[in-house]
Amino acid sequence: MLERIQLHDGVFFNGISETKFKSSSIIINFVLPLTAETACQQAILPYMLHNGFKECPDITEFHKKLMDLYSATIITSVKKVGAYQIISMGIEFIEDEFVPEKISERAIELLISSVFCPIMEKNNIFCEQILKKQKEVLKEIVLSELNDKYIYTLNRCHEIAFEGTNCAVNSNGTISGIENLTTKTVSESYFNMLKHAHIEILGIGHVPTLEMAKNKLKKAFENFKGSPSLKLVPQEFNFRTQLKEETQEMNINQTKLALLFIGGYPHTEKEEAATKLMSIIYGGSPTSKLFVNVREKMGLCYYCSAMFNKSVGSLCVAAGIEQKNLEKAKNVICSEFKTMQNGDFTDKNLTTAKLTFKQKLHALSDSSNKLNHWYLARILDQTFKSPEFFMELIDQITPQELVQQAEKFTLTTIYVLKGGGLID
Amino acid sequence: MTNLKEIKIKELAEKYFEINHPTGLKIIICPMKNYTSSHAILGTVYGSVNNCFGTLNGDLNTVPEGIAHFLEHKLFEDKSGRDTFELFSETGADVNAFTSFEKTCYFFSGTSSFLKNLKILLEFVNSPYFTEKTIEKEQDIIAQEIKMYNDDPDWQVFFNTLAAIYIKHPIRTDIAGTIQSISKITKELLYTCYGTYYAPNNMILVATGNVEPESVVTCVNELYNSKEFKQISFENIMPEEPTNINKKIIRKCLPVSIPLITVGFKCKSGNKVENFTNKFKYDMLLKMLFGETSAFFKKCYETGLVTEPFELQALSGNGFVSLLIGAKTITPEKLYEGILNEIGQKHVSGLNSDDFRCHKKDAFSSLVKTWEQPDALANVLFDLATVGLDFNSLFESISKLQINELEKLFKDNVEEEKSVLSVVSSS
Repeated sequence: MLERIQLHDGVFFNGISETKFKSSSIIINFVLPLTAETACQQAILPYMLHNGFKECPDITEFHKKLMDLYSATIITSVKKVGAYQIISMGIEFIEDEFVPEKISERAIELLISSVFCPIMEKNNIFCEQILKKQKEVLKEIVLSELNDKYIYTLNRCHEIAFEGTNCAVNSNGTISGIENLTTKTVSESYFNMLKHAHIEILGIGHVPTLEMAKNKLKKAFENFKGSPSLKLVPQEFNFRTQLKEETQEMNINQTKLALLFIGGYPHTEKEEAATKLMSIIYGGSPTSKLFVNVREKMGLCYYCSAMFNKSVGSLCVAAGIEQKNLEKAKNVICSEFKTMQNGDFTDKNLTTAKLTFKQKLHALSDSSNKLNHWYLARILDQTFKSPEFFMELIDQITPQELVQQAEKFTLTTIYVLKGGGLID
Repeated sequence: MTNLKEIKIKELAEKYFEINHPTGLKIIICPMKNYTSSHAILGTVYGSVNNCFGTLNGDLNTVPEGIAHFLEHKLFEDKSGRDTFELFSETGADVNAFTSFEKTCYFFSGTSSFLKNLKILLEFVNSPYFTEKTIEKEQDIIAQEIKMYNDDPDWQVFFNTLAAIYIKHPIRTDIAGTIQSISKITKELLYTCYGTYYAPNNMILVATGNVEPESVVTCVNELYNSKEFKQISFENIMPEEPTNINKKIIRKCLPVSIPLITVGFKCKSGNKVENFTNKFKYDMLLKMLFGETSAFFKKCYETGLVTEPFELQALSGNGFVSLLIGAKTITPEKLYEGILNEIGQKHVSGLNSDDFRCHKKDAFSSLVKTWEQPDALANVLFDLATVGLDFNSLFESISKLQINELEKLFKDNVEEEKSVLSVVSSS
């Protein structure tokens, strides 16, 4: 299903041919090391480029061009996967056969122009005025993390758990880091990204569109031939094993709680599948131990779920509760995890978790966005495995393998965002 | 053979089917070529605004705010105390539900056992069972849901806008109600609401994706023919909403990085079909005035009033039409004033015809994209069925729309004196 070819040293095109969608998408993912020193100077780049390009330096005109292409969408994102920072820029557009005019070639060219022909001064330095504006944009993105208390709680818990490692670095950097950015550092960072990032292009759509995108991008990267400074290898982290607990008070109605268990990076697909199944039984579905006990039986919360993050080997539980129920909630979340480690789950639990997981994998092929996420993760871990591969693997997992994975996990961090001070 | 009405969408070379079941249930089925998953929604045209209704025997019922949402939670438990999630876990399907202002929908997605899942869906939604004990437990869970939303600044700025716009219309209150209102919900009230709104003649079933029309109908027949259904008549009673707004400015204090605002406009409400079709026109109007291609957005972005695009939304339903413009800004009043000035100026200068052509392309593309996801398509087909329209009517409404019609809608409905400002800030 995935056709992968190397365009240049460190530049790969991954095509997934799919005709059922009415749109196609082409996304260039720049994979860079995530460090405290470089995070914000790299994170600001998609915003610098999102403003337009040399021949179209006006943001409004840029958006009019996109709308003229039947609302083609420019995709920009900055995310972290383990200790990688992924800067993504892409475009999504409707296939020619579903609109009254041909637009796919123009859409691909628009993406290439916005990535390779930015608005710069004559000496290849970004304009001061644009940088000043985009620093405000990025600062606001960092500050806004406070607004969603659920995400804020998860992020803080993750930062505490991985304190001192690059995994704890915010993918958008810090406010002081952003304030200190200069046109020189950001311009250097831009050329470094083009020449030395590991580049994975993902294209999903009709074959002729993918061919056209591949050829045009191969040509576009010819002027920026470099060598990737990053080799994609399985990431290993040193992590703290003793428990650390932190509480922050905030003027909110409900206490938000996060508990983070670390088990380490799964080294085989089988270990990964077993851990994923374990997390589904523990807290990944409406029949999970956490949902049934913490919400349905004890009525302590509206949500209580567990998420496995393969890239750092963590399992994080999140819940929103009354402050007075904090100890009760913590105890039951921990005791339910203990039952997983003791193998206290039924064959039926495992069978239904397998069914749930397999259906999710099977349904990936119906969503361009989900396919993108799946294959980027598989490219980053260099296994290139398809959802179908995992669907077959899941059937082989035994209860003992789940227990073996659960036993690897240790509770290392509890973060409490203490609320309850407000009167409804 | 079942009497399937075929609806062809010539713009996309797609089709779907409609069936009016003898029980009154409306069924919409859309097979999607090469899709592995299927999605089904069984929903009732009953939501958080329906708190007052009259029945044929002359009873007038006024029920606590939040009861439609509460009922949605409670239907997931059957007589044996077994949770519906457990039944769906046996097939591996994802099941969930939501309540909005005017509908309550129960749905599942899965890649196998479609008919088995459909049977579970039809059975659990048609088998209410409530006890005082389980109601009490649910009150605790929903209280936590309400508190979660009370900490959500986006949710708060949105509902405060509606509370500022509307004086009596129940859209002004939160879908889940309040901790006080849900404490008044009893088993008897739940059965009354269920008996009124969950009869098949008030419900719609939509199935999309990897589905086969005849087998869906057979499955419905098997279950519905074994039960006795009555056609239920009722009347939704809405308070008469004055034309003026409730409150010009409304504020709330929550921990946020910079203030969140929503500027709201109260527009004239027509009948339900008019309101539904006008929503698409208002969406286009909002994008033309304040979207990323507008001169106004450019000015606000360049002067630092905003750093992100505006969040634009037209809301419409039974007795309400409102336009919402959301933003993050350190100067809420200045931005509000700017929005009002822009509207005043555009009332005089009119809309730009090049912009209008461009935005028609945008509206066209959003309809095409709906056909990429079984769940998104199912929701649009459900909404169309609530007002008796089909998908072609959306394409027609865009292609026939003239700029002078949009301008008239704008000038007649978007006025400064019908505007409000909602602010959520840290202090």
